[in-house]
Amino acid sequence: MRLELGSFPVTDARFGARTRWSAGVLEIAREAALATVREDALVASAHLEIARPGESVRIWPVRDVVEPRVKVSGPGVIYPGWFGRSIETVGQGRTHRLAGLGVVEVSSVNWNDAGGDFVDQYIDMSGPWAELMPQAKLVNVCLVVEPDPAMDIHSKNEVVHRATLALSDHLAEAVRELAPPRTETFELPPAPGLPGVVYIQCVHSPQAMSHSEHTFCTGTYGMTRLTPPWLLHPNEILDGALSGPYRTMFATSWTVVNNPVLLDLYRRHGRSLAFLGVIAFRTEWTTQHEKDLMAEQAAKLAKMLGAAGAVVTWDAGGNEYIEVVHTVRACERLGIKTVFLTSEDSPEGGAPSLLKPLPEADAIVTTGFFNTSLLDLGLMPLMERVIGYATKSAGSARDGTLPGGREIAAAGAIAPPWRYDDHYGFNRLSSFAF
Amino acid sequence: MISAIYDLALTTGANRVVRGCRIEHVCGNPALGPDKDHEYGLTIIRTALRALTTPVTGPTLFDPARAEAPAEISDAS
Repeated sequence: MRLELGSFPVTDARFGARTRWSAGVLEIAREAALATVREDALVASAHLEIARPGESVRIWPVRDVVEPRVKVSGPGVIYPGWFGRSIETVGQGRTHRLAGLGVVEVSSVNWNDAGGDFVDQYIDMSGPWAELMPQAKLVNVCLVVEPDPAMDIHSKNEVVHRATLALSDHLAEAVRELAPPRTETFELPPAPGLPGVVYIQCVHSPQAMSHSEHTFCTGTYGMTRLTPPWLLHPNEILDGALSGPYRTMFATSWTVVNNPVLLDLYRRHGRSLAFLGVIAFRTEWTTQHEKDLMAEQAAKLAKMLGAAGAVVTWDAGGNEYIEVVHTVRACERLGIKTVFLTSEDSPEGGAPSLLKPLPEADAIVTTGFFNTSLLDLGLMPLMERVIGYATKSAGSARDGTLPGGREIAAAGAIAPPWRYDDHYGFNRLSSFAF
Repeated sequence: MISAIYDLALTTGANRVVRGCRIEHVCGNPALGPDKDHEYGLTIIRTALRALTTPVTGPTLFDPARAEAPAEISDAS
């Protein structure tokens, strides 16, 4: 499987007469771009705004950030499988991307109306939160979109993300026929004599807790339900076969296609290791039995691929830790040396910062704490402009629509999102041991 | 402690752990229908009461599906 990935750097975007890319500037025909979104009769309203790095802008609330990509040749479509898009296997031929541009999905639609499952992420384009967010370094085209209010929550989620993909497709079309300034070829020729390494990428499923099988969270060809581990060629991921809106900025669509763990493993192929593929491991199984079965099967798959080593990441927190860390143990028991990248729980109160330390998990890279409060950032500063919604709930209801919340100005000095979980190591936070 | 993810409860030092159904419905199983669900829930609660009156020396798993005294398990994994 061979994929040529052509990159078109974007250093600025502005609205103009037609959608086109030239010398790093993306011009966007605002009405034509919005027309692709409004084609869907279930979209009630949509508008576009641009946010640039360094501006005094807060984007609130953020559900996803998508990097516009387009399949120029080869089977399938980019970000496949979502809402009826082709499920043909991707990863071959040529793909073009707008590097440095994000399509930001902004909507009041919650993930789920039950259980406090609301969106609480935002992007600041300047200030301390911007320094901690890789997406704040992008030129962001923000789609503020609301679906028909009569629909149920799953349909609303579907319409909102479908709109984002429609806009992403429209923007990426601008570079379909152009010659990319930079092209990188991704393929995995035989690498004899080098140790085989698999990447086990654990991705959350919303099925058990939000009863959504297919409308949000990182999907595998758009499918987010609880399924046994999938074997993916890394090229499939570069074409968006793992993508979707998610609860944390560190597992948005943009993050997954730009995942430094994936790219670094790829670039070491044939030099220091043989990259064998990606096991996409769906998490949040709800019995001990299921969790242990999936861990066993993922490790077996890695062994069958000939892995001498494995790198394990996950994108969630809580009980999912069990199937993830048991996968580490199952791999080690099969003789596969396994490195585990994880955020840590709060060390306050003397509790261990990992739910269950296992002796087999003897190579752990910490990527920080899940809980932003431990970074001691204080309140994020006032911003001059808000893209999205002028108010934000705070207090006991946090960012939900539940009663008891207090409405505050979204532009004001507000607390950072509660979660800071840099699963894939985008940033350079360091720590002291004392 | 009644837990669907009993392994975690044992590891974190709970002395008496009763095996629950699933995270979504720890003390019952709606798929069984109202009568059997009630019966199953009672079995779990009775197992919990039995656990409370059973001396243990460390983290121990009690399985509602088994009436006999449980083997002591320091780590279910």
